[in-house]
Amino acid sequence: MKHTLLLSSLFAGLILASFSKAADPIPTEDDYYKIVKFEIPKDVVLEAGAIELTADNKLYVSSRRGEIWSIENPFAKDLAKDAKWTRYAHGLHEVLGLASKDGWIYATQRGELTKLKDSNGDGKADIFQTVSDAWEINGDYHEYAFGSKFDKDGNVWIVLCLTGSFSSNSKYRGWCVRVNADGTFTPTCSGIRSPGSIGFNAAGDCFYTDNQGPWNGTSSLKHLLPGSFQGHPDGNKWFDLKEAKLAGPKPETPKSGSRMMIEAERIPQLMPPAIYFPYKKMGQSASGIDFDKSEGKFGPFQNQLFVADQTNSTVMRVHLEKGHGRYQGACFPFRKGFGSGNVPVMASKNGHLFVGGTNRGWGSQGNKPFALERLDWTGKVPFEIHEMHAKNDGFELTFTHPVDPKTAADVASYKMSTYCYIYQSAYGSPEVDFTYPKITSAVVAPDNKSVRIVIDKPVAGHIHDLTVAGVRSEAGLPLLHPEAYYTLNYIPEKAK
Amino acid sequence: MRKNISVLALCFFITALNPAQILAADASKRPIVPGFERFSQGKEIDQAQLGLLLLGELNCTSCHAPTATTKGLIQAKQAPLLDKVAGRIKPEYFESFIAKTHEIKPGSTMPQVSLGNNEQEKQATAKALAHYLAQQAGANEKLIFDPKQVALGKTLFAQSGCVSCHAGRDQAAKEILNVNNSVPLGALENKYTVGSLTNFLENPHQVRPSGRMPAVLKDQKEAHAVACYLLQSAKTSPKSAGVLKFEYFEGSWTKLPDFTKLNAIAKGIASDFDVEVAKKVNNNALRFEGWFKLQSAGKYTLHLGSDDGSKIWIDGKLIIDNDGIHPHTIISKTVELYKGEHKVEVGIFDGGGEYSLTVEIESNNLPRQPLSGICALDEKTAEGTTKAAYVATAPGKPEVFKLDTELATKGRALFASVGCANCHGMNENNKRIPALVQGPELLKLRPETGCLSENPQGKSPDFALDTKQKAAIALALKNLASMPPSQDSKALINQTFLSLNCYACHQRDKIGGPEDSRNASFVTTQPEMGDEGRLPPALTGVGAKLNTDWLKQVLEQGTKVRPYMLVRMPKYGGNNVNPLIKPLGEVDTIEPVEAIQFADTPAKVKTSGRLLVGSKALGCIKCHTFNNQKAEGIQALDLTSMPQRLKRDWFQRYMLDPQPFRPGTRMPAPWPMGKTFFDEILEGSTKKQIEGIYVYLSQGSKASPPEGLSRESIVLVPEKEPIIYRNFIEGAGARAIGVGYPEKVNLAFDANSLRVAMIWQGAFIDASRHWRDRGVGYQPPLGDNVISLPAGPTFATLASEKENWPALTSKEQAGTFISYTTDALGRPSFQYKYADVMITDFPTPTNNKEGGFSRAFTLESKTPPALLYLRAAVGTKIEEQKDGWFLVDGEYKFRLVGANKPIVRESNGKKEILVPIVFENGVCKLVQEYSW
Repeated sequence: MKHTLLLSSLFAGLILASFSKAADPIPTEDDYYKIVKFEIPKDVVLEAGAIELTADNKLYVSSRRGEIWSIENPFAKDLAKDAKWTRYAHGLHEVLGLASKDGWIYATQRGELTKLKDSNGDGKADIFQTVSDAWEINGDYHEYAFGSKFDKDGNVWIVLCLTGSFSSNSKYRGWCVRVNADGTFTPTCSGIRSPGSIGFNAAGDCFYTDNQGPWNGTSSLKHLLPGSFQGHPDGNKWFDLKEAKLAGPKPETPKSGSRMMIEAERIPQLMPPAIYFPYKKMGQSASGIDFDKSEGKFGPFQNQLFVADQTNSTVMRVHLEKGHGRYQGACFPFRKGFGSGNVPVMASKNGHLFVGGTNRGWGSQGNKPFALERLDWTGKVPFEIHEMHAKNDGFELTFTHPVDPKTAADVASYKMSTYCYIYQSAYGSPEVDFTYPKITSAVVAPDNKSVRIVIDKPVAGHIHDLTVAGVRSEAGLPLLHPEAYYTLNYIPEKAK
Repeated sequence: MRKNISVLALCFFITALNPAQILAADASKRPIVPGFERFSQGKEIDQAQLGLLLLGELNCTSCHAPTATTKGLIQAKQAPLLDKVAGRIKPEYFESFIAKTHEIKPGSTMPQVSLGNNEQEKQATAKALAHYLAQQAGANEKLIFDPKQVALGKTLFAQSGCVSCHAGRDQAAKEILNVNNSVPLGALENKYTVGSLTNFLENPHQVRPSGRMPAVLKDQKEAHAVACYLLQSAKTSPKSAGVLKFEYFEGSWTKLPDFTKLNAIAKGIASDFDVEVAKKVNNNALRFEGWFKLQSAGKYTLHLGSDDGSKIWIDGKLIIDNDGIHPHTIISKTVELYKGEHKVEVGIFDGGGEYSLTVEIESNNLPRQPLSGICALDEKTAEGTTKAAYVATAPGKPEVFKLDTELATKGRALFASVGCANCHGMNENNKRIPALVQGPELLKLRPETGCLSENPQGKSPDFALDTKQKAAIALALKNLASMPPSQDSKALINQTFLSLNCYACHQRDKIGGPEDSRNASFVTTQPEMGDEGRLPPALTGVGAKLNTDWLKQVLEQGTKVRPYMLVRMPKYGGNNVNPLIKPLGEVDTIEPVEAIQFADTPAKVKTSGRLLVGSKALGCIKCHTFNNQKAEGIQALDLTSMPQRLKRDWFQRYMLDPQPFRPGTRMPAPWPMGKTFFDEILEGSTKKQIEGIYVYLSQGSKASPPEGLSRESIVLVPEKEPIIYRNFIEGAGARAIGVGYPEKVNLAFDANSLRVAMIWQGAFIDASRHWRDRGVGYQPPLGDNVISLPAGPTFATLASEKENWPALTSKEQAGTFISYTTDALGRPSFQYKYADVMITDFPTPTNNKEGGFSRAFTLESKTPPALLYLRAAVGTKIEEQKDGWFLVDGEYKFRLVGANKPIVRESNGKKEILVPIVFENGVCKLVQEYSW
């Protein structure tokens, strides 16, 4: 395997070199990552809600219509011929979370976490056992429940959307809760509004995506640190319940019309989003989360997060680091052109990214009503900003290929603006408090793999919106995606 | 904590009384012109333009003649027309308002007119004018206060746009004073009756033709509701001393009873002919008695209104018979009455429903008014009209107005001579009363003189202008002489936006838009649309956006194309807004998009447009309604209205990139970076696709609906094995588990209350509610003969056989839902736990020809509880039949197999059948069969 990888990188280098010839077309996303479609059996409406890959390499996909399908051979080259579909279960209530453990499939339904088993080996589940139904629903369609895989302690993490996405009228709506395989129920974080998905990073920390709306200026990726408050105060009423004490003291109510970092200063539990996805520029409704666990089999983005967007039918890329002990970092466009509105994503260890979609009720650029797709790496490495690191006086950019030192050292190759959002009870927010920092220097590292840019001056609490239009690779290519958006909640101390 | 709060409150109180605040009170009498109030503090609009605004809003040109060159620069606001004014304004209001204009209504743009040289003369002038106005009788609106309308009125006042210009109201509907830039309303209850305010609100332009007060409310019903809301304090103000005796009776009648044959349950003194003194609504009657005195003999009209029947007697003689069961109905009758004292008696009864009574009197010299106003308890105290025009009344009792025609004649002369006629239109023999006061010409006015002086003297009216207002007027006057005779289009638009206060709701070129203090009053039925769903659109570039005909219609007639936005675009009236149309077209331009040549036939272009709008392509219908058919998600503006509203060039450019036109809009860019996703439609040309949509939608309501619009049913039909459907099922809760069996019987298990909630026959369920669109709401069963089984737990332990069956107040009380497992045929067996008992509940269809269920219960426990029961049935009527069957309410039959003898009992007014559960070796098995 290693051998092929090496070969393919070599091959990639050759291809890249050939791109640089003036007459060649500029490469596109499709040259690096290909979308492979699953052929969904006729008469099946697979409005994908969650995806799980079991140890026996079966892909389980749940649908909003309450079915779970198991697919054998999900890595097959010819999916139409080799993938084998079986309906594992039906009749469930809008399953938006799938996990597996000890031969059981765990499905997060609207009203409960349920474990399913095929006890007679006919390929169909016949036991549907309730693991926990400690939260409530009242019949409001917006009361969704998204569930994670298992964490290392045997918990499924569940984020519970608010009633109507605005208020918390049922128990633990607006919360993240943990349910252990043994049924133990632990209220974990408050402040959830309208989640799009939940997942872990490589370190095993749990994140979820929340969507633009009240107290959320735009969609974002947030770290579910136990005891933290994620920003929407309506669910805080459940702190009065006995078991909610496990989530720590009730946070103060934030002041509407303020700014996130002003309130975070005042309310210790308030967790500023690790990543804001600027509205329209990156997407309109962030959803599925998973990290690249392929150790290079999926390209150069090892351990980075992939986050989907339902409206734009895209997958974005996120690089996180820690500032003042809290996650923050940058998001980059990664791949567009999926068939429907992306919701679940699942990365496999062998270097594939499964993406499921539905656009029922919420339109998407991909115009299919539903889809299941697999993103495969072609083996060619795109010229991309690899990582973006905040510095006391600017940023350090690393690249997937060596840069052309001339264009990379030219400050005119970079353009930056900064802005933030009003943190308010009204729906969403325009971008406000704009600044236009001057790029005062761009210093290329001796190995040409990174550039240190100094700006006048970084603004804490702002998104730093960077366009790197001018930088070329050594091979003369422009960046596949010149945009990067760094959520600079905290400016790092000056390096000693 | 509480203590801290009160200390804080005290601090505020002290602050409120500081001398600076008291001094500021005078400035608070300045005329409130919202555009001036708002923009005189900033730099967005220059002071000279604001001065022009004041010259128009204060109607300066009605006394100070403009020259031909300055006339077109001022948009004068016409004062209210006063024809028939006594028909809409209470006569007793006139004198006080004329005499003390700024005290009675601070902020009024009406000046304090100079009424004379000394207090006595001033008072006499005001009185004469008041009598003249009171003589201008008009039709009285017969609507009365209806407490049931108050809530609607409150909502309309708060949400439909009234508070965009006026101040909000407190819990008691009192105007919240000192709200920035609000047009004050004053004490409406002293000025209007419910009927006259309704009339005004329904059609404000009839008396105020200049459109500053636009018509917001859509019909008389809404206007009445707002009037009831605004005037409710009049209804709850302290009552006057008693003027009538009353007797109260109870009984059930369809006609007014003979009171002489009844014994009164209660007697007392009432301040009005008002049913509020009744001890209850429905099945009672009231009899009122009092005296009134007339100054002169003549014809008097009595108006008797009631719900239900009523009668009025004068001096023992029946005058009006308004008897029988009916809604509030007014009957009027004119009678000859002699000078002197008269006894009045009124009887009323209420059979059921609404209860109301109004008794009014009217004559040539007595404007229509409540009769109680001139009534007294007995003959001797009855007040005559021989006294002063105002009858001295008990404290708190409304003053009663009696017209003095001599005074009115004097008032007629004064109306012209003191200057009222300069501003107010009043017709006399079909001709407007000419103005007699003439001030210096407009261009000859000098600052700090006349109306602009510190304390206006002599004939000059006093507008109570503050320094800022005077300065702005002075600046405008200075500039006027050198200004060209007509404003350029941009200035004219700005001037109109200021005078009609368009800026209160709309932003244009970064000026205006809802103020922070009012922002929260703009609300929506669809919060998910964000500000777009609640704030009126910005009007920057509106002339390039809207078709001229549509723009004209919107301005003249108002519109409601955004059903989710609760604030309304009101009617301004053609004369006031039509002058905007041409300038908007001139100022707002957009680069034209060249004509498009299609390779396809026109029919094919429309077909392509339809394809693009539908769910197979752009899916516009996911968010936009189509010809009033609902969208899947949010319900944005109707697609079929677009070409009627929007200019083609604008539509082309907007679709390409919506953000610059509507910053922050949720409308996605359907052609990101100008590129199409659909190469096969209309040659893959973005421009052609946009045009195709425009052409298709231009058919308006005739456009054939796009694909994906209608919600087709999805009927779930179990064929070989059962279908399970967990969802929101009506009658079985938010965690229902529906099961449809191939045998055509169905059930719904409620996983919250742990019971089979419903059983039914025939078709199972239609899943389209939940499987199309977002899935809003509860879906009922699709089939026939739906039987709802008893609410509450299936099993419970009771302390005794007498104890009521427990009601469920929480999910936890019901027990714990454990699981369901399916057998080889796919039939679920439910497991739940109650009081350490594991219960397996396995329903299977029975094979009898009627169709039914057999429900096999297995209960297991290591520590079986005593006094555990199954509640087999609840009903009003449970009949035992042969073979152990029971018939419940004639609807369904059940029987128990292998069970202990059931207990039949009465509980909570119903029959119940309980089955005692007895364990053997920790197990109990029994079967309940259903047939229906």
